[in-house]
Amino acid sequence: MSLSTPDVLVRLMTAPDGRGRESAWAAFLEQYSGLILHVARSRSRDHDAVMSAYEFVVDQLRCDDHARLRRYVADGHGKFTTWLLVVVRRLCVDHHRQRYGRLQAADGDRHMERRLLTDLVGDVVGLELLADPDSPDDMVLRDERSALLSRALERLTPSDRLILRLRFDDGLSVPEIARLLKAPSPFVMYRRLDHTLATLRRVLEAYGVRSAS
Amino acid sequence: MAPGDIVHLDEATVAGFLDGELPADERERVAGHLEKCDECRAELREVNALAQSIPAIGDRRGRSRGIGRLTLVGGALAASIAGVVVVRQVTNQPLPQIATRMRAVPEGEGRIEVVSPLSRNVRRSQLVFSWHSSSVDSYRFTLLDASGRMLFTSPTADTTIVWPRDVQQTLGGVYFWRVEGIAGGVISSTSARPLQIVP
Repeated sequence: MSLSTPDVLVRLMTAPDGRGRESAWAAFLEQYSGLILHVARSRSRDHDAVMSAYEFVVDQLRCDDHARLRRYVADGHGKFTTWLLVVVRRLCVDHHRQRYGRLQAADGDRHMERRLLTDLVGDVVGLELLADPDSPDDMVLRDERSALLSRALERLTPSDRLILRLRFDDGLSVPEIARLLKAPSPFVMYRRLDHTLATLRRVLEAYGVRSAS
Repeated sequence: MAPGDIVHLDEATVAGFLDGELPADERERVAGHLEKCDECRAELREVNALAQSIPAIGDRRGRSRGIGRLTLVGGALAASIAGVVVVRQVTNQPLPQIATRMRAVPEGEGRIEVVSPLSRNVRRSQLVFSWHSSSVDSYRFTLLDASGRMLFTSPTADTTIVWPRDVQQTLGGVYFWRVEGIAGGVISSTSARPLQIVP
């Protein structure tokens, strides 16, 4: 068991008999019910729905001799509370889908709306991508520029592309991205974003594209 | 990438990424997936927000306790004394009088609203007591048995408490519970709410 495994979970996993497991399970609930309810409340304001989700999560964590919790012991990365937040959130999503069904139309719309990174950062690096080309020449020019930008983006690291996606697609502020990606400070993230955009401009210039700026 | 083609990140990987505990090459692989997968990115953002809001709950507790110590010493003392008095009265009274002995505040500031359990019959797995108030600083939770004998009482700054570990649950057993609160030195209380444990 990892050093980050909390005592109460160790007790639950190593309880020698049913009575010990019951006692350890009660202690586990005492310690983590607040977290479970916190997640359930974040997904619904309706009291009945929150308690129904809570009951579902507790049942799922308990079933099959706490099989889900054993997965953390077996292969858990990160802190137990972070892992439990992920698990409880997913169970709340499952519960919601069981109760109300999957929002297929909304998922589909979201997929349809997904924008290419080239469209998102084109303006930022000063590359006019001609969103609505009105002549065959403009269409060719647009496709060429888009392909060049796409090649430039591929030369970035996945982490840098993720930062661009979080900033220009999800609309997160730089301090929010810094917190999400555990950057030492927002300033580090500002510098990294500036550096990434400067790299893109240099690569485009190397391809012979002069930015509008 | 079509939605059906996506293999999403597993729970341990999401947690490891958020806690910055993945090896560098694994972190880059995960970043590559996150850049392309809206669903996993939404999960990452949501869990990160939840993780950041959990310490805030702890901070709120600390502040509430501090305020209680600094400004509500008289009220808290009165509340604790009143709590003992009320409990003693309760233990000596027949059950129907429990509710009428509580100092309930039906309306206005400091009112405590029960969130759960709302029904009398409660399954073992649902034995979490939860309440809400917009202005109460600290609470006292009390659990009584069917005869009005106090089984458990404890102060708390939280609005949720699980069934006390030291109190044995009896299937079919009837219990009463209530929450008292202190707001601006005024004590408010829920009525004593009955519950019966069902399988």
